[in-house]
Amino acid sequence: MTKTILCLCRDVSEADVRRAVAEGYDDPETLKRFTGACTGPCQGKTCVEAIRRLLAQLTGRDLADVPAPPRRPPAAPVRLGTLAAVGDASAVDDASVGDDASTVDDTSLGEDAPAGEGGP
Amino acid sequence: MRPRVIPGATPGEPAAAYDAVIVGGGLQGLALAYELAKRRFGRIVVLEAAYPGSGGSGRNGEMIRSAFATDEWIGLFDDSLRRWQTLSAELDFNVLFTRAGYLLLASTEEALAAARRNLALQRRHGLHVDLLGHDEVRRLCPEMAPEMIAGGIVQHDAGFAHHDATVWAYAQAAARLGVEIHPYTRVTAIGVAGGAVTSVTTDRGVISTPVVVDAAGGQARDIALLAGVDVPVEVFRLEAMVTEPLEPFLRPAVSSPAIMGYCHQTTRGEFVGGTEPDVPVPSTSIRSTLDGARDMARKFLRLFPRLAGVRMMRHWSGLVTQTADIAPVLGRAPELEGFYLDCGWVYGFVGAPAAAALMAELIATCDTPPTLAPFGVERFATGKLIRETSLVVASTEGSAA
Repeated sequence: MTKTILCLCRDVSEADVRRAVAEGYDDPETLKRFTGACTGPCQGKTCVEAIRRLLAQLTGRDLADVPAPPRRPPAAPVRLGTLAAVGDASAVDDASVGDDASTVDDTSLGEDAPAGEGGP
Repeated sequence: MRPRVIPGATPGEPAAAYDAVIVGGGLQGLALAYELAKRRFGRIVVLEAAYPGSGGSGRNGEMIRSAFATDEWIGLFDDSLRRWQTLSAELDFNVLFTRAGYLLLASTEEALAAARRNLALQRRHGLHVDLLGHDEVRRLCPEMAPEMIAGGIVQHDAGFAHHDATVWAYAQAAARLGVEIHPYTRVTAIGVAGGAVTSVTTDRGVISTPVVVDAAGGQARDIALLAGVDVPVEVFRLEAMVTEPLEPFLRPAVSSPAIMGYCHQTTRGEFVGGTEPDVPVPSTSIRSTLDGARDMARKFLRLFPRLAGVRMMRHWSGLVTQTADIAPVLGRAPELEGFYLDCGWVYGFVGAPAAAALMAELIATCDTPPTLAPFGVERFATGKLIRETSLVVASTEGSAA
């Protein structure tokens, strides 16, 4: 028996999504919260389009009517040590900051970024 | 066809009349609908502008305690804690209530002395609390920075739960009792005649009703104003975060007034928490900020230095509506017959089960339960504010903690 995984981060299969939608979690946001899909380290970059298409197909909606859930920052996971050192020049060179120091400049963290959540 | 959005939501259009209209499909509104239906109040509808749980109900820190410092708070929140103990069974849905304990950390000798005074009151109320010294806190939380620990109060049968699951649990239980839930249905006007509410207008039509409950969270003040009622709340933005999962290192929920923060480790291993700025941010925006992310990182590293190499996975914002004493507003709107307030929440997640049951009793019987009475909106006119001192909340008058 084959098993199709849609969200690799959270191990959410196509069957999981079909079952959740059949239960009634057929809004992109509640589907995300119920299955956990799109909430892993990749923030849905890998799976969100496949999940949108499946949700549109299962509910008979146009793809345009199935928005992607809002992406929450950071764009890529950032070590707390790195974040704590933001704005502190002497600490940014610290070896413990590691390879993801560059991601703190990502504009998705800034004030001018799109809203972290769509919300009410 | 409209999406269902969640199990339990109602297909089709809202009816033309109900016995009660609840504005806001968050935890407060859905729990109140369930409790009213249990009392066979009649036809009940919950109107939600977005998806159920989209506001503070799905953005809070999920922590549960009743060990506060006043009779009023302990009375309401311990009623809630007792309901949390059996909530999954009652609602037939696992809300993942985790009775891992709740530590209110004292980082200074002054804070420890206050904890000692609060302990006596908490024990008179029968709470399962103990005062811990430095060594005992270190045994409970071995990864906590020793210099942050003077002692603390631990409440053994408190802890945390899953906020989305709790929303869905109440929604489905309410729906089984006949409650209608309409997502993506925005309230645009509230009709008033002869000093009483008469109707609610939504973007899907007009509903006549003798009872309207304002449970609209961050939008509660706007909803009340539609009825000509002014609720004295201010809206502030809070930010929270979750890390990647890591091996179990923290058992209890922890609140720390010294860093103005609160956190726990979920059963899946993620570290979840939020910190508050020294001065609250008046805002109705739910944009997350780099300042917020940095504030959380710096403060949580003071508490748990080992988290320096752990990655923040997600970061979000939510709104709280704060009153002058940071206690919720629960009860009638005195100037408008049939209009009820269930808003002004900061500790809304833990408080919802009791508030819903007590508000339902008030609405169904017209008698205010004694536990609910201190939280009426009248207190802002009479000056009888509630002097709770054990909150981890930033306020405009400085730290309430």
